[in-house]
Amino acid sequence: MSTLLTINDLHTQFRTPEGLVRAVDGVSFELREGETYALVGESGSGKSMTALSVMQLVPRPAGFIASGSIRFEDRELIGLPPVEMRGIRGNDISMIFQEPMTALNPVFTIGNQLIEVLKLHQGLRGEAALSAAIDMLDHVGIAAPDQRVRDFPHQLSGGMRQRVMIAMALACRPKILIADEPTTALDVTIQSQILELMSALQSELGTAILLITHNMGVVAENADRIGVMLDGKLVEEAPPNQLFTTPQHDYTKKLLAAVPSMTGPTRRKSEIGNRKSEMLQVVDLKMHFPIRKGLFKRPVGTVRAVDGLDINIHRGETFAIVGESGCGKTTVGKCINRLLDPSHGQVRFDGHDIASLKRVGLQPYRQRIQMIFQDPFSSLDPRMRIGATISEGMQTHNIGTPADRTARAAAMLERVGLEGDLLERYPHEFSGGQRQRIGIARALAVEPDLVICDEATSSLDVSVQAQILELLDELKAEFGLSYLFISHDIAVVRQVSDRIAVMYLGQIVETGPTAEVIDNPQHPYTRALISAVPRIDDDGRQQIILPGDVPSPANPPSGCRFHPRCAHAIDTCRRTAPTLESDEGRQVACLRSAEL
Amino acid sequence: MFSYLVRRIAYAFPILLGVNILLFLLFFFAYTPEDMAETILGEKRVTQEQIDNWMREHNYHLPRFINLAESFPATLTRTIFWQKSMHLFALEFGHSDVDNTDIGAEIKRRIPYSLCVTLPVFMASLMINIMVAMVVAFYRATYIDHMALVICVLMMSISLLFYIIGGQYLFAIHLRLAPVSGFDAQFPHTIKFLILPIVISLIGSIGGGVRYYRTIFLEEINRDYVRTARAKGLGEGTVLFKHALRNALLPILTNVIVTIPFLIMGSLLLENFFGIPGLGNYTIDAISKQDFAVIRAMVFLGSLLYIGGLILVEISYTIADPRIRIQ
Amino acid sequence: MTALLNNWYAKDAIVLVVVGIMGWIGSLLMRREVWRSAMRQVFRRRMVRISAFILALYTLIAILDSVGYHPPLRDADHALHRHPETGRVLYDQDGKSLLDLILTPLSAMHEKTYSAPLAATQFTMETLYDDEGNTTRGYPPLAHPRRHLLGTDRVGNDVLYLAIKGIRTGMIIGGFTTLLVIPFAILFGVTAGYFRGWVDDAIQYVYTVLSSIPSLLLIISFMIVFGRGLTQLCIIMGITSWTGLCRVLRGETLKLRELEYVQAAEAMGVSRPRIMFQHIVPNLMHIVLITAVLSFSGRVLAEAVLSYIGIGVGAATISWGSMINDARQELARDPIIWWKLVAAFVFMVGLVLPANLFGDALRDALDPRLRTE
Repeated sequence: MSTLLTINDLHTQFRTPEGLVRAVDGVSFELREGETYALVGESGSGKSMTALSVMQLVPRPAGFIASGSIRFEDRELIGLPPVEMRGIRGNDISMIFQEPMTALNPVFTIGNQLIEVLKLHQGLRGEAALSAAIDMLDHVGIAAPDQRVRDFPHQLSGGMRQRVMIAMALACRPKILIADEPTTALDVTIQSQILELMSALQSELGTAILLITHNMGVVAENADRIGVMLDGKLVEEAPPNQLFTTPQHDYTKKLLAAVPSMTGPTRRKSEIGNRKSEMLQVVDLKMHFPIRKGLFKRPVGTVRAVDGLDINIHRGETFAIVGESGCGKTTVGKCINRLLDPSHGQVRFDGHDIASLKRVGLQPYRQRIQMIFQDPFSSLDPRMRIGATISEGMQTHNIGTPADRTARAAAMLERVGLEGDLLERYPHEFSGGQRQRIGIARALAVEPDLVICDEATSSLDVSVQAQILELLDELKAEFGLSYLFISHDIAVVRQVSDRIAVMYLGQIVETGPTAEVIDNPQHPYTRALISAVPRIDDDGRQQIILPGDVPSPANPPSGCRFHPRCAHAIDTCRRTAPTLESDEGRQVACLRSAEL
Repeated sequence: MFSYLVRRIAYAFPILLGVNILLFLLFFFAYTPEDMAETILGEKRVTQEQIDNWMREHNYHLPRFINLAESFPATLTRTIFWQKSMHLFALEFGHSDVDNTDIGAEIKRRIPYSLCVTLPVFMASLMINIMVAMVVAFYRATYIDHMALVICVLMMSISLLFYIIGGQYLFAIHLRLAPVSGFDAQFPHTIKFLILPIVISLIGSIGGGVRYYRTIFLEEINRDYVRTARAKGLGEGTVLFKHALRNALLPILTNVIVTIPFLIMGSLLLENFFGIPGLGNYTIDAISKQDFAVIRAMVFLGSLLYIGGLILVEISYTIADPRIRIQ
Repeated sequence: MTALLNNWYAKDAIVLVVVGIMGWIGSLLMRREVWRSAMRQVFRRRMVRISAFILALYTLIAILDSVGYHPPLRDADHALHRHPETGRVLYDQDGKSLLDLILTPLSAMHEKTYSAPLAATQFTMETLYDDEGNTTRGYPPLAHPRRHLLGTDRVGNDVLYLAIKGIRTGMIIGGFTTLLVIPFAILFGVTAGYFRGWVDDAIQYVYTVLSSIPSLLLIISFMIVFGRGLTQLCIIMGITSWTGLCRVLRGETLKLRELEYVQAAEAMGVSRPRIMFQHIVPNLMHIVLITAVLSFSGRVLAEAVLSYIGIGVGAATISWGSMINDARQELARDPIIWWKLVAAFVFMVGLVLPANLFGDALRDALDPRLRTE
């Protein structure tokens, strides 16, 4: 295998008001023909900047390549005249990005955007260009490409758009494809579709892939060689089996230890909750959002975000809801803590139905049910000192004197692992993980009974995530909490929860004790979902790749909502909606669960 | 599309009604017909009889909202509100309070004169401003960009009055390149009277325009799809003039199209300074003569045109932005 | 002197109140580190520091011109006028301002009519009598030759004095209107965006109606009905400019209320007024500040136009707009009289340009979305 791309001692830097930032600080590696080389690292490690440096697309004028060499075949890319570099971009080296929703130009059809590349690099015109574009769309698995070619990006789902991006990138059969977090914004079942597509096209076209990702599982299953980046430097390079079995660098070891695993024992220390004592019962919960149109805002349709949901959470347990985006899991959380008014059903907290309580009646429950949010950057008021943020709840619920509250805020801050004398600081002075700790301190300061964690660790780096999960686990025992853990990440849920409910299109398809559900999933959707999770310790499992996208909750399929994507669907599934069938704590909503 | 338009226009009605009521309160409660009569007849030495006569002649003697002396529907129609305000909805502007001329006819007569100035200014300034802004955006964060910005802010800080007075003095009086003021409807002669107001108006608009469009372009340039376009190997020119421009046109549309109907209102200052007999001049005359009927008509017309502009914006959006489609 | 001290009054209490409130808000904001660091960034550029200095100078002049007193009446030989029976000192009914006191050397330099800047003689010819009683046509010497930096106007007033007196009018229209507008815009904008539903519909209706009337025409109607004057002008400019800020704040509130920290407060049971004023309003203040500074200059420019069409401040108030209005006839003369126009131009640009530059710098520092590369 000959070497395509050689990067030698690359330094890419940024000028900021705070001084020079060394985003890439002396990185060297090579990419060989037909292989997949993965750069992994946490946010800010410089992996994306390495990729943009190769493309000579470092954001100007703040960013610049200070020194080093990037050789592509026999040409040096650094200092190459812009005209020649443009001949390479999209033709010899092309790139796809993380956010398929914004990476395509919204006002041009996807055909137009595809043809643009073919015109530019292959000189194709008119009919020839159009048919080549249609071919390419067909190639990346887009159904009815001759019609889709006239669609605008907004008419396609996220997964479809990423396919279009891949089609555009591979249209000129480049020698190198740089994929910058290509599946990070996608759901896990869509992620496996896209990864499969990329590897199929790679073996067909012989393209070398530079894969940039933070996801160790994706790397393990797709890369030939892996480079681990930390603070702009490449700290370790090895093939996957070697890296995962015998990591050399301390950072790699730490990183691998932090990745939540789908097999083996979990790291939980806290006790499993008391099965007898029910804290929260949700009965037939529905949340329908009317779609309003026109002059008098007539409702013309309904988004059935949550459509008949029953759950019980016991005192002291961690209950998890998992599902892909749009399945309604966040809506469930918001109905329980009454940020939303449910359309139907009961939310019984300690036996009292709080689903229809108004502001005043709800006030005591606002203390007992707390929430930890996803985004550490928007969950704290940027104009409020963190001391005030933490005390605000105590003040609202008249807990203690102002002095007590300050003392407690300081104590809470120390309990979550920060120093107590930071109360006077503002949120922007803290890192993402620290802010999440502050969010936890705010929630726990009012001594709640139930804490809803809505994707509480999803936007954190994996090592920080592990720390936060550990902290939550400790606090649970210490404060006698129950958790409702809402997440899309099954591996995380497996680590923390006692029981789990899998949601699809506003309904629960399967629920039961976490270990049982994950080790032995019954519902076809659960099976696909679990098999789609990329993992480091691949046990030779068969991946089930679901076709298509999740249908719209405004217009759910008839019968079993999963039937259009289900390999086992029979005629009855199209007509009859399954109910959750109980089987010793396990419940599965599938008409064919007994046979499968 | 048709039913959408009908709905949109129906939605505009309550707003125009609000405008009408507001104007009515302003002109007939804060100020009374008696005040008006006194102002127009000359404040001193008017007898009550003269005032009453004037009010009767101009239909201001009626009750304001409800006429209890009449039977339904005249209870509502034989009132000042109906006669003076509601009639505006039918575009019946009535007659001038000062010289009794037909306002509607006068407006119709003057619109073409106003358009002679505003239309060329509108088109030329749009083109010039966008082009200059794109060039400035192309050179973003360089010396050229910084200089251009400073010049724009300086030009914005100067009142249009100075551009007009200075321009008129320099080009018409000092250099004698164009007539000082006046108007000739005969075609080739029109141009020499129009050229100066048009040029001055363009100079006056360039600072604010370029700066605004530059901000919009820079916002677009930082978007992800622009990076994708560059990654495809497209040149900076194509990236800017095809991808970014097409998207930047969307916010520009809202700002530009809403002003199109206003073009027929003309420009108060330009028409006044250059003696162009358009609607702007009409308004200024009405102010100096305290002609309330004309002012009311112009305010209503202005609101009507504004709302018309909003509807135009929405229609153009559905054409320009594929993400918005009307059901 | 004691007599003088006893006769102070706030000629326009409003200006002092405005400055006071602005200072108070400023000091509140500066207590917060976020604002302090933003301000440090703003003041990093020299052009901005110069702009701020000029703005401060204008403000100082406007304040000095708003502190008034009644000067005691004096005879020709400077003796105090006293009440014939009580013997008390009599005071002038027309108030003077502190600025007038400082500018007395300027305002006292009266001429008969026009004179060019720094001229020694009058601008217009007159019939002159020499000692022998012969008459000649010529330019009579000025009472204060080469002392009028910007010349004198038709009635012989020093133009520099007029231009300086115009500052207060400009500052009141720019600043007072802003203060008048901001509380309403915040209250209605945030209320509409936070509560949504019918409250939002009602507020939106009101501002759509108001903003659908072209602002110049609404101002004209209002000024015709209520008469010319500074107060009327401020009020109607407030009414017309309220809607723009309100619309922006409503839109921002709609975005903010969906943010997790507002949701967190909501879920905590924090009361609605507290959410609105503790969590939403502080996060909108940068928009308010930027809009205030940038619309300030728009109003100063608008005053000139309105005074020019004859519906601005009254004839008795000295303003740059009325100076421009006078200048129109003066430019038609031959040779032209340009200094009054130029004086108004220089003083207006001198206020508007720094305000624009300062506003731009504020926006760059406070609103990252609008920060350019």
